[in-house]
Order: sequence, then structure tokens, then C-alpha cells
Amino acid sequence: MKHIRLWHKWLSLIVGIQLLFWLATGLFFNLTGHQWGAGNDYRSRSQQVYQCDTPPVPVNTLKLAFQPVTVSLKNHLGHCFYLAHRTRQFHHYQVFDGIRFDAETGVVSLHVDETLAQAIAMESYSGSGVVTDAQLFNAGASPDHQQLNPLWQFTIDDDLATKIYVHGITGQVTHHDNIRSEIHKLMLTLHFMDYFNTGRFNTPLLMLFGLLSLILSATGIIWLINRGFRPKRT
Amino acid sequence: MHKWVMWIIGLQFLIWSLSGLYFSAFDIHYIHGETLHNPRHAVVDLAQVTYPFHQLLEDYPNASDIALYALTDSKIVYRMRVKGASKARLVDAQTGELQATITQQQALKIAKAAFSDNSNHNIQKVIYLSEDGPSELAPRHLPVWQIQFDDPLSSTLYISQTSGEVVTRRHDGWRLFDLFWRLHILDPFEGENISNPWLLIAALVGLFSLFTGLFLTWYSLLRPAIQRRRS
Repeated sequence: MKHIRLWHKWLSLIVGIQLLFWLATGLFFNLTGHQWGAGNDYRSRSQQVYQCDTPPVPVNTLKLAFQPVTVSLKNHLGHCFYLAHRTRQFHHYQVFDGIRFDAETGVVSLHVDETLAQAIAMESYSGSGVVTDAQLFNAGASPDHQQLNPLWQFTIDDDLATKIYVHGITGQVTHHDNIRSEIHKLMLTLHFMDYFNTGRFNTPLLMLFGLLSLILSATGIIWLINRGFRPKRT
Repeated sequence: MHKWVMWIIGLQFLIWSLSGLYFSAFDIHYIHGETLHNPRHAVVDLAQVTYPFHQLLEDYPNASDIALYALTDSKIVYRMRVKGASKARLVDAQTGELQATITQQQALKIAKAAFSDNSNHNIQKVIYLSEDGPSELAPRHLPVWQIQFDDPLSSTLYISQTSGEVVTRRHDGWRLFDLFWRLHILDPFEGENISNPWLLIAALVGLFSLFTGLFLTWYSLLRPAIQRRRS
């Protein structure tokens, strides 16, 4: 039992502050819920029908070096393009494995330009602010550390300091950010111990502290049960 | 005080630690079943697409979210969503005919091709789910074909009956993750609501117990060390 007590005391010294972060941020998530920190306060989504300026060319005329797993037709404000995917991907931040074609000419169109990207961004925005800054981040250089593709960032001058992100190849609005989502991200950083900004929670540091806190909890429970069954000293 | 409060919350601390350790130990992409999926299981021979996109748009002017893909190596389709309809529809990419829903035979072929470990494992069970599904499947995907493989993790693919797409992938690693998640956020029934009152109470009691514990740490370890240094 002496060792159990020693382990518990010394582990509390090592893990104690992080435990405080875990509980405080957990309480924060409980009080704010899923939606508060999502960044979608001024986000609008609509299911659009296609309105291509000219009819899209047949896909069997596209010059592709591979057989795709899927070809999708995308429409942004009258401009249509094809996305031909070589492999099935689950996340927009994975390196885009495919080719983008202008659907009206069949010509390869590698990136979304600033004018189109800004129009796409504002189409997803329901607030009253205007764009004050536009920036294109190269793959891996954006504030979203997971994003491995070019990414447009549009800064809006509204009450929540909204930022809108548009995928530089597919034209998809990847996400909105604002003051609330920045606070939420800070809380996630503390909760996941992502102090080196990896964007992940499978880090050796978190695993180590998880293991130490498990031992702290287990030694505490053993100590508790042992004290509970021992007669009181007189 | 620390001892008495821990009688109330101690077990939850153990659960939080164990579940947190599990979450950090496994890559979330593995948990979500992304490694179960063969990323190039049915490719499209574009030369076979004789019913073009522009014809589809003329025939279905209210269509959105159109994608062309192969159900199996010989069957190429368009999937589209029509305004007002809750489910996707399939159109044959060679003839332009609307397709019936996915049959069991088609679902088995799709699943076998889509499963990344199909050379080592076989299909064990096939069930059609139309209105009620297990908690591991979001209800919006119904109706589906549930296809379970005989691998050690009981991997299961869910194939949409309306679009033929693999809409969900599950295995025992996910099921354990889900159980731990429900215990972690203290929402054992739904596993979704992090704003529930039990979590609030546990967090507040936990914080109180932590502060008493930190006080004891200071009192029993740090204070004597500081005093020894001074003397």
C-alpha cells in the first residue's frame, strides 16, 4: 500500500495541471455544446440545381490518363466543371487525387481563381459583412494544418470576424471560422494536448498522460478501497 | 474531503482515463473504417458512357449533386438528387433509363469488391434494413443492405439500396470506441449530447475533487520540500 500511495502522490504532481485542463475544457464543451464553436453562425447551405452557361461536354471526350472511380459535376454560379477522382477519398484535406476540368470546354483547369473562389465564399455567407482580405495558402501552409491542398481564405468584417475557406482545386467551401470557433479550437488544443499544432490527437504526449492518469485513478481507487476497509485509528 | 468526494466520482475518473487513452491510441481514420475500403474498387470506362451529362440535365432539370460511378465493373450509373425527393435516384449511364433499387446480388458484389481485405475473408451475413437499423448506422441512410464479413473484427459494410454506395463502414474497433465515447460524455443511450446534465455535474464534482487533490499534493509533497530547503 505504501507504493500505491507514493505512486498516487507523485503522479498527481505530474498529471495534476493537465487534469485541470481536461476537466475545465470538458466543462466548457458541456456548457457550449456542438454548435456554438462550429463557426457556422453565418453559414448558409442550399441544394442547387445546375445552371451551366453552356452544356457540359460529354465525359467520353475528356483526356484522362486513368480510369476514374467517379466523375462529379459541380456548379458554381453558372460555371460548371468536372471533378474526376482517381481514388475514393474521405476528406477534403487529403491531397486531391484527381483532375479538374472545365465542363464547358473539356480543358483541364487546375485551380479555382480568386474571383470564382470569392463568389463561392460569399454564396455560403448569410451575414452582412464584406470581404476585406483574400489570401491563397499553398498546400500545407494554411491555418488548417491538416489541409494538404491549396486553400483560399477570405476575411469578412462582421461582428464575429468570420473567415471563409474555399478549397483551391475543387471549389468546395471547406469551413467557416470566427471568434467562437477560435476559442473552441484553443479548448480542443488544451483537451487533446496538441501543443505542437499537429491537428491530431493520436500523439505520444497525450497517450503518455492518458496512461499516467489511468494509473493515478487506479491507485486512487485502490487506496480509497483500502482505507475504506481499515478500522479508524484511535 | 478529497477522499469523500472521490467515493462519488472516482470511478468516472477511471472511465475518463481509460476511454481517453483508447481514443488517443487509435487513429480516427482507422476507427471510422476508412482502411476497410478499397479506394479503387470499381472504375469507370468513360468510353462506355453514351448517355451524357447534358442529356441528363435536359431530362431532369431539377437534378443536383450528380456523380458518375460504377456499381460493378460492368454497370455504370449516374446518381442524382431531385428537388423534393428524400432519396437519390440512379440513371443508367448508357441508356438513360431510371434504375431500380439495388438488389441483394448487386449489393454482395459491391461489398466484396469494396472490402479491402476481400482476398482473406468472406461474407458471413446479409440483411436488408428498411426502417430500423442498429445504432451504429445513421437512420438517414436507410434503406440499406447490411453486409458482415467473417474477419476477426466483424467488419460490416452498409450499402445504400437507392444509390449502391457504401454509406457506412463499421468494425469492433469502432464499436468499442462508441461505447467508450458514450461513457466519456455520460450519454449512454444516444451517445451524442455533450450538453447533458450528468456530464455537467460530473465535471463540477470532478473539478472540486481535483482542487482538493491538488491541495493535498501541495501540502504533502511540495510544502515539506520547500520547508526543508529553507531550513
